[in-house]
Amino acid sequence: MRAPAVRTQELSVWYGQSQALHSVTITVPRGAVYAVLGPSGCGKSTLLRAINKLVLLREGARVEGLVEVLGVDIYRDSSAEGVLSRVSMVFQTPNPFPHLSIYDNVAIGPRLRGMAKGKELDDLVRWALEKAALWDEVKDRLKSPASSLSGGQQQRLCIARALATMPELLLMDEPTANLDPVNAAKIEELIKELSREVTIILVTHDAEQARRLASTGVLLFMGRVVSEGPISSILSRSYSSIIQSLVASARRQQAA
Amino acid sequence: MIYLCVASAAITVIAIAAAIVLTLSIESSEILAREGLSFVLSSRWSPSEEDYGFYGIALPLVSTLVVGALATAIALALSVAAVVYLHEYAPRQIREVISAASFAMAALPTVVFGMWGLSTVAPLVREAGLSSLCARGSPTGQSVFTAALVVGLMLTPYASSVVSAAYDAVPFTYIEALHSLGALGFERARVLLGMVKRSVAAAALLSFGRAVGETTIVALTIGSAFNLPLCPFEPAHTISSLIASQYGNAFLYPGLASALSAAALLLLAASAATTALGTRIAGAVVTGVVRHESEEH
Amino acid sequence: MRARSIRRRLADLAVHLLTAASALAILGAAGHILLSALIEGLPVLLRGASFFLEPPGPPGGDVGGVSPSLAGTLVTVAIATLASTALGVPAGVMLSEARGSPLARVAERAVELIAESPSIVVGLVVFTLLVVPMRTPSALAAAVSLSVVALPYVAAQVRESLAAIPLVYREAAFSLGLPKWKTVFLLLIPMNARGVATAVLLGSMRALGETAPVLFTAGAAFQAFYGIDKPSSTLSLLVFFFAGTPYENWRKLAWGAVLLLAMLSTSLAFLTRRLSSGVRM
Repeated sequence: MRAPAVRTQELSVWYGQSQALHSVTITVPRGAVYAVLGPSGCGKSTLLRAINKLVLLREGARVEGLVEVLGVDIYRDSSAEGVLSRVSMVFQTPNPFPHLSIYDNVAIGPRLRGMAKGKELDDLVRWALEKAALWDEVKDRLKSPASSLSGGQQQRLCIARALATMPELLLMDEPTANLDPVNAAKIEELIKELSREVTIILVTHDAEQARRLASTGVLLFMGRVVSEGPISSILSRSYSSIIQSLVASARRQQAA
Repeated sequence: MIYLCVASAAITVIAIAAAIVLTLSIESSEILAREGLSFVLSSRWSPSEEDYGFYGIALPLVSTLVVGALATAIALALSVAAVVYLHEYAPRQIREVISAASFAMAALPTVVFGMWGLSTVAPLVREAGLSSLCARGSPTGQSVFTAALVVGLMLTPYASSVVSAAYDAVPFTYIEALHSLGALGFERARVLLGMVKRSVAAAALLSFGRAVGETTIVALTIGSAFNLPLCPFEPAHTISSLIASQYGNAFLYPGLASALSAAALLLLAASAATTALGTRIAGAVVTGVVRHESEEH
Repeated sequence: MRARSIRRRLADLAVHLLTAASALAILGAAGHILLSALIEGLPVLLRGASFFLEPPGPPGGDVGGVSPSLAGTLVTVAIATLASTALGVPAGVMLSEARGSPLARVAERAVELIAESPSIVVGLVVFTLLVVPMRTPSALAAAVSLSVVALPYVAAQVRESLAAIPLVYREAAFSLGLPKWKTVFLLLIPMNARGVATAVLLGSMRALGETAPVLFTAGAAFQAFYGIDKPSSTLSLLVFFFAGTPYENWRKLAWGAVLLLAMLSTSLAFLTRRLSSGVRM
């Protein structure tokens, strides 16, 4: 039995005095599309960033508990860097490096790792852009700056950039939140395709998107796990009614 | 009533600026009429008490550009390196210390730098035997190199504040993206510096403008000699050090005052041009970052 | 993959060390400058009242003091601060509040030009316009020179801090219905007192630190202060002229003056920083 893609145990994250995650325990099976659901501010982005250690970039960040990625304890094991190089991330607002060309944006990951050079690199870039369903639109202008692309194209470029390093785990932080419906649909298609080869953790506030794309997931509220498991059981009722009752019980607790 | 106050202040300021340009132009008209372009191209500097004499500032002009370029290179190299260190490698406390030191350094009068250059750097250059590397190496250690080094140091706090501000202004999401790609410190710096290259260029231009106009430090450390410095450890004159050292003779030599005014006009033009260009470029701080919301295909 | 990873790490380490060395170099230079000033200058300063009250001793003789140059500095800086404030504050107000008007646009260019002028050029112009007709260098001419050099900084600071007043406060002030310039003068400027104070400090910092503008205009009277319309000197001039002299006692005075100037400037600078960081609305 292979280790799960990600396993956390009693994971807590503080930013200075305020606690963003409380004893979160989840398991992300390999090959799944795993959704992280919840209203804004519930800690979804923090959870994602705890998985690739980006959380440590923030001021006063502190992490307690266990995070195992592809079987490696990334906060304690010295081989953490090696395993994290097999993890890639796509962000909510497309962030291709604006001054670099389309080609260089995709190539940056492989170049840093020395994965390929010359013709091999060209092939790799092409492969990544094809996987991200962007190749046909940019194949004639690979040298143009990334800033010349539209928002939807830029996000697909970011996906290509993330794929170029051949990751085993892909972290996606609300990748369609800032896109129009047409582009969002394109990216959802992409995610379905990619899920056959890569484990994907998808943070989303859109319950329907989770139903469409994910097999399992976790529902977070105020930094705590509410429920984890198959999507159908997390979203047994309508999402809005779930959130309503969570908010109501939180208010009751505060009043008490 | 108040408007009159404010407007007349504005008019006075305009008058002052006009006075500067006009005075210099009028004073230099004499020598420019006499010598024309050879004022700038000739290296002959021969004052005369009886007749007009001949004044050519080619040598100081070249040295001015050399000192300016060298000082700017030093300031830029130090600044970029320091900014990269502060942002990618340095722990928080060190950042604060260096920031305070930089601030204190920026406040020091140039004459303090000049004194230090004369008493510390020049002897160092002399004792390190660097002068002997040059044909007409300076016996005192005062040289183009010494001047450029001290001016470069003086310029560093300002240059690094320009670059640092731009580096800070890069949106956090790009930093996250670089980390998620596994980029190490120097790899991140390479990408980020590429994003702020306009500010680096602006810092270079602004520094050059200031270096060209700098008098006090240069006068104390350059050795005041009419020399074409093919080698940096030789003494020389820049236009500003020339003006500083020669003005006293203006009463003796009839043509000298006009020559110095013309030299000053040249200095003003050079400084104004580079500074204006630098400020324009510095306007666009980070290259190509466009904030866009949901866009269409 | 491993070897590459090690090479990357080594390269990163190299860059880390190199950049740290640069930062250290800057720190070291700044430290050495301040340290030299302290080591060489403190003993001179600690001679007490004589440093501040006596003129320099004869060449190669007693150390004496810097009193005439100190007086010269105080007088010129005071006048320069006053003049640059009197001109710079209203000019800055015009630049901020009448932005876009033809007068303001020309004034903006004028301020830029003065700021871009090397300070020795300013000195030369004042020399031509004031010293030559007066037939003598003077503290007055020096003060005028310094005022011109300081002016753009004062104006720019006032302009920036006025421009930084948040829109809500502006709207509140103007909604009171007073004529525009009365509103500016009675409400916006007091709201911005810190900005104006910072501007004044900046002006005096500039005036204190400059040597080139006073080179032709002040004269070189180090032995006594003769009056505002007579040749004079400043601390920075004293350093400039005494720095390279072969006389031990004069060099000591120069260091004392250096330390004094350094202390004054850094205190003014930190004061400015305190003030401007306190500009919160």
